[in-house]
Amino acid sequence: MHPIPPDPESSLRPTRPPAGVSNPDPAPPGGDPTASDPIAEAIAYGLDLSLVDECLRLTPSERMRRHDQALRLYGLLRRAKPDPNAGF
Amino acid sequence: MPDSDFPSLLRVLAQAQVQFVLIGGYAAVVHGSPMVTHDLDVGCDFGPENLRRLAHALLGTEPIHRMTPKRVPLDLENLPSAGFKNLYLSTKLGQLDCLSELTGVGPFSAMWNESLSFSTELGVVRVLTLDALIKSKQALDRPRDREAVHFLSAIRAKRSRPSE
Repeated sequence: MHPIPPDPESSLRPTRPPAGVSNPDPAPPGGDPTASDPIAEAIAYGLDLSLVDECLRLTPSERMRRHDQALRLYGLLRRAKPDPNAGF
Repeated sequence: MPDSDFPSLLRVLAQAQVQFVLIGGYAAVVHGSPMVTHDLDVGCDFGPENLRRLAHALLGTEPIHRMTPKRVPLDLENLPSAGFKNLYLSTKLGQLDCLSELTGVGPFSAMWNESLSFSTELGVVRVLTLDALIKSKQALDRPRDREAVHFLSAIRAKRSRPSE
């Protein structure tokens, strides 16, 4: 395989902007949804960003495990059949 | 559709030393996206040596061409010389898409240059960067990609902001 940086996660975290810089990510051209405030845009789009917050607290391996659990549950539900005795 | 076991699929690729970059929805998961994906997308070097490794990796996974009406089995023996640009496969470990080029990013060399090594329980995996993932999802621009762009852009913004 390939060389491992000491902390792959750390390379994903940009350094904090210098004091007085209010917008460290200049708006990309083209009027895309990320142009102004991506967090506000995502909420306005209807996304639940608390799910993102939860994922960001996990390590990459934990995120993959959590995803695979959700996928397994999906598989179980997909194969589920109505139970005539369930009462509803 | 069989149950997906992406960790095992990634493991067989890694064990066979296939040169690949994790892209698409599962790469987004590694970066923190809560969206669930049903296939494993990887960018691959489609050179003969890497395709030989890929064929070796897929031995025993019963790969078939998912997009063909008759679901033709993948000919592993002749894979290095078959001239494929992309492979859309169904295996007993789940759906695997191998792409030689990614919309919005470019060929495998560009994917490699725009990737990071992540240390996972499965070993070290090259994963497309958040910026490149956003570029590719913006370029693809399907409804699901738009949702992914919003999630990924929010993740990027949250990473760049001081903790609240």
